[in-house]
Amino acid sequence: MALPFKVTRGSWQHWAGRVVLFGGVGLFIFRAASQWSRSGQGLLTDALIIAIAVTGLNLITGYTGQLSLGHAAFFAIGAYVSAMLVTGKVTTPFFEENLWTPGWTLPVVAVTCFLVGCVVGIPALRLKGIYLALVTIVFVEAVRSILKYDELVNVTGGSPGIKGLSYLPPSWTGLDGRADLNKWFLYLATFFLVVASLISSGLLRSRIGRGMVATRDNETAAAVMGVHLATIKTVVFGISAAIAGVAGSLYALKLTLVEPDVPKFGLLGSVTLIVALVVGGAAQQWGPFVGAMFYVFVDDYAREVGEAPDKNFFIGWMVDSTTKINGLGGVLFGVLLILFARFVPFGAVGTMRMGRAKVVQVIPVPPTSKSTAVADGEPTTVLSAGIGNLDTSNESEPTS
Amino acid sequence: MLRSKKLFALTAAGALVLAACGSDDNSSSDTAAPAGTESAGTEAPAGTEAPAGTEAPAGTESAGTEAPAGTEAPADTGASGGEAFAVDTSACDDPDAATAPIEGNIKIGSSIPLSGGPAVLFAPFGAGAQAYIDSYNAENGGVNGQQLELVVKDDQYTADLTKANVDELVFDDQVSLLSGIIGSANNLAVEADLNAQCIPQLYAATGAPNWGDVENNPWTSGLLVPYAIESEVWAQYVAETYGEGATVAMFTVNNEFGAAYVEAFTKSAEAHGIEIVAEESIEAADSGAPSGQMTNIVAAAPDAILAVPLGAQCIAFMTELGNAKAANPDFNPDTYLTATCANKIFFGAVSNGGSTGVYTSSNLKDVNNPDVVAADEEASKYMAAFEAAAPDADPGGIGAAGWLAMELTVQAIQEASDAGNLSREGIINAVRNIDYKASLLRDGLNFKMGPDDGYIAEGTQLTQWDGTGFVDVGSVVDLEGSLGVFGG
Repeated sequence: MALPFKVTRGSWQHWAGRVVLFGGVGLFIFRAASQWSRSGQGLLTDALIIAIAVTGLNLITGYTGQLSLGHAAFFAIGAYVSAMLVTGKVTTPFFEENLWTPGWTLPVVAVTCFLVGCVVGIPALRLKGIYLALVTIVFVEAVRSILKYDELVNVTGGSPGIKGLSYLPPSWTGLDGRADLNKWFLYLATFFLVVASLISSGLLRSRIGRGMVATRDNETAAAVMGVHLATIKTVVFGISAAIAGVAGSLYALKLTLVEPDVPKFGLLGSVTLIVALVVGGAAQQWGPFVGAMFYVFVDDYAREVGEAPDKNFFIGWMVDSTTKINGLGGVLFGVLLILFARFVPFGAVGTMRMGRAKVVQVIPVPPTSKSTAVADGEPTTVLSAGIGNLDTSNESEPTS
Repeated sequence: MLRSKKLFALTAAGALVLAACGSDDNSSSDTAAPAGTESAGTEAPAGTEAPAGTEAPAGTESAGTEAPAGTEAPADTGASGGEAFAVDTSACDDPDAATAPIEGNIKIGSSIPLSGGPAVLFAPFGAGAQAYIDSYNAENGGVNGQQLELVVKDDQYTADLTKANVDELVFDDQVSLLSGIIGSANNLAVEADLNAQCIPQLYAATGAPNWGDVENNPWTSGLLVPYAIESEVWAQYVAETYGEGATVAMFTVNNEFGAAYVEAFTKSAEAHGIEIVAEESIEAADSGAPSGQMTNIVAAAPDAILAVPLGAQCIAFMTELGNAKAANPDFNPDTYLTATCANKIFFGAVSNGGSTGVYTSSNLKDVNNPDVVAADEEASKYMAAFEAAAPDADPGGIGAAGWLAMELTVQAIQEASDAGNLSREGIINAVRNIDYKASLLRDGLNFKMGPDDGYIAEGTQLTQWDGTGFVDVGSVVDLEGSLGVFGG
């Protein structure tokens, strides 16, 4: 049979491929939880938490085309909301005692960040590109300043922040308290990454998702075709912020403290998320996962090499035991990003999809009379026609 | 489509509810926080005898023993005068591991900034620490035959990387204890875990007040002179020089580090009748000249300034101070710069004379002064070892602190080993009962802790930059035992 194989979306072959992919990743996580050391579990958890935030960023930047450098602020807001509730900095009306356990703060985080995200998304109605990016940078700094504001010190903790957070595994998990803390956070992060991915993919399959992609590709055309740009941009900004906020909450609970000067709450945090998105592949469902893995593990590896270069397989023969190459991580990242920009412009996942397309092509299911039926008074086929080369999953299929 | 929407909604709601069923520390029954340090009916374990005391060298005199404002000197501040500290291991995650003998090489872990911006200031700490370990192994063949091994990891001064590093050090590298982690947030991020696991977290390289929490975090101890002591020493000097009603302007970095000074100095100023006439701040990431802040300080015309910038901001502040003095002939306040800036490189880098006459403090010998090194055998030994280990790094200030952290750590290991209890428990008991004159500590001071004394370094020497080096001002100020314990 000549390449590429053609597989219809939804066929048993397509499902078999999905089972292999998801099963493989599931097995990887399960193996990490059962066999990796606690430090490895902690590192993997860090990567998954970043992947959650990047999944949120992917919605607004990857799929909707709105460049946001402000997601570190949502990350920070999520972290602070959890910290403030758990430590009783914010009291619950009608109850004298603080009733908040860490887990119950997560829905509050999601709602709060959604509302803040919607508000921040308002400038996105008139701005785009570098101008929107500038506004979101200002937002990051504004949040940091508010967190340090003297008048709010009783709520936010001021410059020293809030310390002493803790989220131990509940008894029903069967985990052994603090001894299994890293495993517990690994499960939590995996769980929320799956939920965020389901929300993301569900959103993309909906009318909103098609509107997002249409907005990204050509705002004018999308508006002409009936996409309500204001609603799309605002709501997606809110959902994106909510997901980033939950990631921030998990980050704070794992770290056990929040401070306004935590690097991931500032511009550096936003850049981290953007880098992970670009490396993994913008507008790719698996992009956040792959990008975050790459970011965390390569960074860890680079620091290890810098600390003891004589023990490294590749360069150990060149140096003696007293040599240190501190800062190698930054250099390595710079080089890798340049290489990515030059040779992997669609990110790791985008490139893999291109390679896969040469072997296996997934063919969208042809529209049926049901799918073209008029919904809410608008024919969906018109919108589909406007999004050009996208398949029904709304993932950008890179073209070389 | 409606069905799938409902499915997503249910999934999301279920996710949040499931996660919400987690517990926090208060609701968990099997992970109680480490118990207090007093356990009824328990005797001090072997290896917890108070170490041999050291007398202050003849010819030195300690000045000013007034307790910092807001603190009460405890009745008993050390092992020598009363009951020795004995840690309770029953609350440890694994009590047997805490009391198990340490065999083979003794691995010490640390996490410090080796790359990134703060590494410029902090990286020599690692070189100083490594120099001491190498020197001790070479001279003594390790501790009673057990070689010492130091594993240092780079955390870029970020707390989440510190946490990841400590996990790697504990679970992969199998270190027996941590020592010399730099940064308040960095230490706080791992404090709860290490105390629950009963792994000594020794000599946190910050002066924040948290490290004296003997009751709740007995496995964590500090290294630097607490900011409250520094603030008190400066307040005493200002009050003596300008009398009651003296005016001071504060310039502090807007983070936890700066906030700790603000809180401490405000208390000391109140106790000494000092009026704070200006409070200016700078963001930690701000590398620009603090011109606006200095303008406000000049306008307030204070008698003295307390300045707490961070890293390279030390140079920027002193440069701006020099500019302000040049532009305003009447503006010549006595200026104190945090001890974390007490670095010959920083002071020497100010080209407009702004650093000349600026005060700072240090409890360590000035190893950047050739006369001090030539006259002091221990300082000479340090310089030789440091230059051999890191010929390009600055031996003063933070490098000496790294040497000191390891010297104190090895001292505790040696005591525990000599007493036949070389375990984590034996080491932390030795640390918490320490009474030791370290090689680089100034004459007239002593390192001391006990059940009612959570802080190891409570004395310092005021110094002044004369354009080429630091010159002592008055005698050392020893406030030993004055801070008691954190929250006490």
